[in-house]
Amino acid sequence: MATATTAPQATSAELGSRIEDAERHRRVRWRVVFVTVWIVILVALVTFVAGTVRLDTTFLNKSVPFILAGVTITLLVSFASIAIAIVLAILGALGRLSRNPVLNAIASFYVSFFRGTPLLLQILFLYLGLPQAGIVLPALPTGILALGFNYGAYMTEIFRAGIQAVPNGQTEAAYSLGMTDRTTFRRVIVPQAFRIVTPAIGNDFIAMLKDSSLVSVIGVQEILWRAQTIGRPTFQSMQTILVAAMVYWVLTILFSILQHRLERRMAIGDRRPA
Amino acid sequence: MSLRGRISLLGAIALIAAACSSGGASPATSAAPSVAASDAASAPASGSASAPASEAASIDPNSLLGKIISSGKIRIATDPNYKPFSFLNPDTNTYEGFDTATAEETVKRLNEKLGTNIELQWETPSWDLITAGSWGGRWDVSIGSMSVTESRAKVVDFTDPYYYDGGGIAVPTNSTITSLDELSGGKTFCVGTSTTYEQWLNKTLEIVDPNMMEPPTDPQVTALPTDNECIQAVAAGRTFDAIVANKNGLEDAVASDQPIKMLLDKPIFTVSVAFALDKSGPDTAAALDVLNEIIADMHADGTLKGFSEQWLKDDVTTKPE
Repeated sequence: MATATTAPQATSAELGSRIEDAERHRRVRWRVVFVTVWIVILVALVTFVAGTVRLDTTFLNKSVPFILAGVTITLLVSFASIAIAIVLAILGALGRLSRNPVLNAIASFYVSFFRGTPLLLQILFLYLGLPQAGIVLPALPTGILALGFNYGAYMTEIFRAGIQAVPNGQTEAAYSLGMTDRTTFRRVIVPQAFRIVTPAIGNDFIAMLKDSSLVSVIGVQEILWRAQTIGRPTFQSMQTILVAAMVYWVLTILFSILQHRLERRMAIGDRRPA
Repeated sequence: MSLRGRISLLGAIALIAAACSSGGASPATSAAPSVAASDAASAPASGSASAPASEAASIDPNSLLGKIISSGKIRIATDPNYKPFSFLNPDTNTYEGFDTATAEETVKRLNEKLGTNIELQWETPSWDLITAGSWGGRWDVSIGSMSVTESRAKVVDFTDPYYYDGGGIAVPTNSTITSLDELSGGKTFCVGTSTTYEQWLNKTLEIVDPNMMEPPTDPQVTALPTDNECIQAVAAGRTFDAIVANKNGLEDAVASDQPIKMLLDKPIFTVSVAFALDKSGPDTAAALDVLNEIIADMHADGTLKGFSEQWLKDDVTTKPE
């Protein structure tokens, strides 16, 4: 077969499928390289760690289940805190967008204070300060409140931006249909804003999974508290901390996948029908 | 209008706080490893129940002891990072050690004395939060190796001592230092934060001990969350000239083949160690009385000596000369 002579006579359909083949080939090669690099780094890391940290398997068999039992607490803290944060962020964003100077001031003061001080300090402040005002919450809700208030401040700004990102035309269209301010906000603005901020909420939740470890200082028995407490008596903290790191990592990978799926679902409305 | 808006915002926050406190309260304390508190809280002999029960009835319900009795539980703070006094046993997932055994025995005797069925509930905040005082009712008593110092006595009420603590100094195994004098002049030290050992180095320790050794001059102090981290830091290859910590704890680490050795046979200071109750909380007088009685009994019948020999391989319950 004289390819040189037949090539120019190829139909456009053949040409198209050849381009598709090449494209598919390129994508597969890209993925192979991508996965290979991941595996190489992972193997290098595992080799390095295994070479430096002496792993005691009988000790790990006992301590890993104890550390894993902290996953429930970590997830409980993270979910409860993010729920509080979302509620506060909605209130905060409304305040920040309000024309009422009092509401606006309260909201901006809240954001300024909780973004302006360290999270660890806020946890200790609530833990030590609230009882002096006569409110004695156990450590777990205290930690959840502190995390919720802190993340709520960051998310206030995200929500505010999300609401402002809904095009003006949407509001105008709602008005022209005879919707009131309130209905427009509830039925038109909020649903669209929520879709805009979904990736950011997912991101914050993943950050929250790890920041929840800070409540270990007030004795909440989550993953890090357990890793440290079981590592110290036998002077093997390095191993247990390593286990905790893996647990956090796996958790964040799982939730990243969930986040990705959720975002894809939320984006369905953006796709044009083919 | 603006006032109503503000109130509703505050109301929402208060609602969240309330919902959170009721919804999340139980796991905070029951999530602990299944601590062997059940035997300590087992019902006392029924024969002696009638007489002590009247004693319990005469206690002021607003005092600390009254609150403990009416709530049916005593919340004891301990830092379970303090082997061999209080630590987590990975085999059984329970707290163990000298302090733990003392606390469990104390609750058992409290129930016998009062004819009650008070349950022991552990609280495990970090050590510096326990010594800070103003517990705000988060726990009732610290049975966690708290040394009696003048500065702490300003924020907590101490019982009579249940043991006597000695401070110790350890140096890395390969250290050439052989005396306390050689640690003077800018040497580096590792200590647990908010401990009497840190205060000793910083010359802020206020105790009455004629035999207290003079701390080295110009110490460069690194304070880690617990002194256990100091030992692990040295084991990991960080260099400190010395670690100052509880003598029994250091000896336990040496016995566990950690790369440190004791510098001195004698303690650098000895100090009484007692249960502590919050001065800023409910009236502690009745609780102090009954706890002091129990401590005296446990000294007299050799219970504390037994715990000490079991966990510390040594009797630390008699006052040193």
